[in-house]
Amino acid sequence: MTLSRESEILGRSPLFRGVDPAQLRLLALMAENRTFHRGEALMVQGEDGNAALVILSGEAEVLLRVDGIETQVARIGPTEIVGEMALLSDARRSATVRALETVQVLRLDRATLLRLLREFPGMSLELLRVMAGRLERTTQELARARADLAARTAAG
Amino acid sequence: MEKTLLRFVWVHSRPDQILIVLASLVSFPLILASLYVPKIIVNDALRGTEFPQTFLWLRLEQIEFLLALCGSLLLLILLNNAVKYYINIQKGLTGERLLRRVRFTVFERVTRMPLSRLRATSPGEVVQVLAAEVEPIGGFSGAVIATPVYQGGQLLVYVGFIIAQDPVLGLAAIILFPVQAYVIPKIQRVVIGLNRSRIRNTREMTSEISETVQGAEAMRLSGARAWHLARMSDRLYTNFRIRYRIFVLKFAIKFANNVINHITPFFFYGFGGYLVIEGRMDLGALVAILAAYKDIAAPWRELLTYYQSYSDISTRYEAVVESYGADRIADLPQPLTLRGETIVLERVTSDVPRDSGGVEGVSLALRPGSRVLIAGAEDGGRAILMRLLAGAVDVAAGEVRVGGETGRDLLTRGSAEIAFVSRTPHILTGTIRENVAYSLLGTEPNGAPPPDHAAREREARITGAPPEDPHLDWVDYPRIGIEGPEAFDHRVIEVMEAVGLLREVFARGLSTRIDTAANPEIARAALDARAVVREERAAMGLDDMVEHWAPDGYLENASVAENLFFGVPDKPLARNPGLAGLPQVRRALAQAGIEMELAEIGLETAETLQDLLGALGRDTTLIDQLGLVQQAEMEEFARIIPIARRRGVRRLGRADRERLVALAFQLVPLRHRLGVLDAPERRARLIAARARLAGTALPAFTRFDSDGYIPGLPVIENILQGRPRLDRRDAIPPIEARLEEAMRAHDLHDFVIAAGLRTDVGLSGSTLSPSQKRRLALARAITASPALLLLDGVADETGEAHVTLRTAIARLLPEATVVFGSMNEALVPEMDDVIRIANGRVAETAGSDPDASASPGPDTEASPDPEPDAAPEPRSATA
Repeated sequence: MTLSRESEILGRSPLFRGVDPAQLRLLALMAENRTFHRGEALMVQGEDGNAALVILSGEAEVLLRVDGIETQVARIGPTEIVGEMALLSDARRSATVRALETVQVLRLDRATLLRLLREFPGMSLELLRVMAGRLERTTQELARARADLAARTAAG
Repeated sequence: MEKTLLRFVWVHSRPDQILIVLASLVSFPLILASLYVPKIIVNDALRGTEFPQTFLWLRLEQIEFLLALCGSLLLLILLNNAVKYYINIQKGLTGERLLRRVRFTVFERVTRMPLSRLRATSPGEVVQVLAAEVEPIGGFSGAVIATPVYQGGQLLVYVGFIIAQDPVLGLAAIILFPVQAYVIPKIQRVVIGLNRSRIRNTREMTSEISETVQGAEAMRLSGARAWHLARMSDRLYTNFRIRYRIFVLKFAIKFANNVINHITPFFFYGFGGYLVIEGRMDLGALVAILAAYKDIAAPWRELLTYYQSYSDISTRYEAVVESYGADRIADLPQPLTLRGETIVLERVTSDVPRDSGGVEGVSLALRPGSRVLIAGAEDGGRAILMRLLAGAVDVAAGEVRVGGETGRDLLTRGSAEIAFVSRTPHILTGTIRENVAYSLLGTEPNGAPPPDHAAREREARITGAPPEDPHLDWVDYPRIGIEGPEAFDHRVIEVMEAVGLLREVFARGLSTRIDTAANPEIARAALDARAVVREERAAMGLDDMVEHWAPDGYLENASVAENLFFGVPDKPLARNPGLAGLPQVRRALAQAGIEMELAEIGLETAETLQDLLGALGRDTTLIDQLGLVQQAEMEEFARIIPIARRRGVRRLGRADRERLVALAFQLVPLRHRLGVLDAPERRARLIAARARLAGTALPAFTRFDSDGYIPGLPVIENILQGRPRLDRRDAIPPIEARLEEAMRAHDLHDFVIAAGLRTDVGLSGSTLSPSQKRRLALARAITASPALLLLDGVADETGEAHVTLRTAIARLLPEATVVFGSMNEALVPEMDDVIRIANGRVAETAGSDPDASASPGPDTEASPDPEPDAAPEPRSATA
């Protein structure tokens, strides 16, 4: 896959939607290609992560393991990004991602991204905006889940 | 350290100083003789009438006599300068040795400072003292005795000579000296004072500037710019005044010296000339006096300078002694054994205050072999208590009891048997093995130093520094009952496996290049492994993960140079760009008809990179990270690109074309993805050129299809006979794990681990993740087999990985007391004793063992704290 195609896909991913195309091409150049075959894990829940993956082609499933049981929580495809929390913190992988077919990804490691963010503060703001949006959504979901739980406990 | 500079110099360089003084004494008759000879030349040889003259035992005519005298003068000058040279060298040598001694002494003292004081010392200050402040001591101290003797003596010789010629003229020569000796140091003192205030002013100005810049936002928002400018202007005015006065005074000194020095000859010409005309003095004497007077100026100036530097430098020395001098620095503590003893703390208060995370009135007992949890928040006293137990924080009040001894410094004295691992351990810049062995270093190395070490050793002894060679093996194997390096390696491997680092070590070993000449057995083992992997390749699932060296295919994971020459230089330094510079490579490329294509590839690459960076509209060093070109080189390419586009690569200068070829050489399709190597025809042409280039004789070069070990490639590529695919690096299990399993099954993995242990971890462990750093520090702690192991926030989680770690610690250190500092309440069931710390006090002590009553009970002094977050939260079973 060529650089321009890669940067185009990057540009369609929510995290980098507002980023300047020239910067995207640089980002794509700094990233590395990875290929995963069907059944292979892109990342494993609980392991240290230091890179985010942007899916270029193929489909993967996101699996959450609770008490030893894995449940599929989402299916993801091209332009979607996984493991982005690792870009900004030391957090462990919060879920397992497994390839459902041959999956090609761009791997962005933390050191590279941080350098880019330092060089292009505009990119940082864009990232911050997206992260804040996610936090907002998560907080709402948490509130809903709590309300749900409270309602169920009261009923049970 | 000696209190004064003179004393320091005398004690540590007496023989050298005496030697210098003796040499100075030798030079005086030589100087005197070289003053008399010109006089004899003028009076006896030029104006003399009685010939032949007797010279030594010869009778000589006028010309011969003149030549003999001139020859003697030449000889005297040579001798005199030889002595001077010797004195200078000796002075320099002595000075450098004294400098080395001062530096080493200060450093040695810093390493001995109490930890509490070390923490309060800024590294910058020590660097400043060691690097800059003591530096002039070296230049000066070699001459501290010699200068007054030598220069003063010279002065006396000259003055004495002039007086001997004519007492009146002699007096005239020195009549103004007292004036100079009185006035000039006075002015100089003012200059020194001004210099001090200049330094002060500059420091103030620096802080003013940084403050203004840091507070620039507030300055603009408050509209305070004018005021800041006025302040700065004021400081600059002060600075200007000081500097102005300094140079006025400096030139005043110069003026005074010059005038005085030049007035004196006025007497000589006037009064001396009168004496010669009157016939009361011969011309030869006057000529000699003038020559001698010219030479007086130098020693006199030296003496004045000496006087000035002496006060400056001895002040510096005394300042150093004051900060790092003898009395305040404690001697190294007497070691104490903790093995098998209960460690009791009785109402112990740390010297770190409670509101800075310290502890107060802590009583506890650590029974030998027990597992203890110190539960609490890190900054609520837990971290400091753990460090206090490690002997790294001093006890300010209360007492510590171990065995029959009582005292506050017992834990510091027991440090050889205590190991402490924090969440952010200190990792050495060195190899993994060095890091593991760090707490086992002995006081002297094993084995004999290399033969060329003798000079180093002698010099060390002269300057009071340790003569041992730091490059030898310093590990004290007997301390942990191990025979030698090999047995230690086995032990380290065992520990690394236990702390879960063995795979990392193995992976590192795989990626190293090995000097096969020094380690032929490693190359042999790698070839054995190669045979095994060739058999089991498919079963290991490697086919899809490795790109094998296919002689007629384009290698996606290899550089263009590797694709063309189908091999690598044995030395990594001679790699791609270096290769492009070899004349035989250039010839071969031209003969193979591929040179222009390569230049074209380089040109396209450079253009793409330029586009990419140009679109960003500014300079960026991001490009360096790609490892293809450096930012600085981009300027070169920016120059070459338009020329190449206009005239074609064919007509570029040789150096420019070579630069493009060097760039092309480095391209790896899977890594760089610039699209310039994507065309199948281009790849076909490169592969075709490979066949034509096969016969090129390259120095120290090994081809991929060689049956032997390829020294230019890392171990893993030697084993695989190919390169791990870049895009399959994250496959699980990774290729390294697959190799480890297969090689372990054939017992072929040890050499890789041994090589891995000898790989560098980078600056303070920069190539390790935080968790790997903790595991490495834990490995260091376990290997030292301590009596007391302290783990603060380490191996304390509930997850499987940490449970394994705790089991391993128990297995490897069955007799050690292990103290966990943690917030994790889930550890409680695994512990013999639990001590809860909150707000710097013991909140609760609980032991599962009833015999624990020997330890102090719940601390009666620890009143329940009012803060709600102080008490440990009870965990509900359903959580």
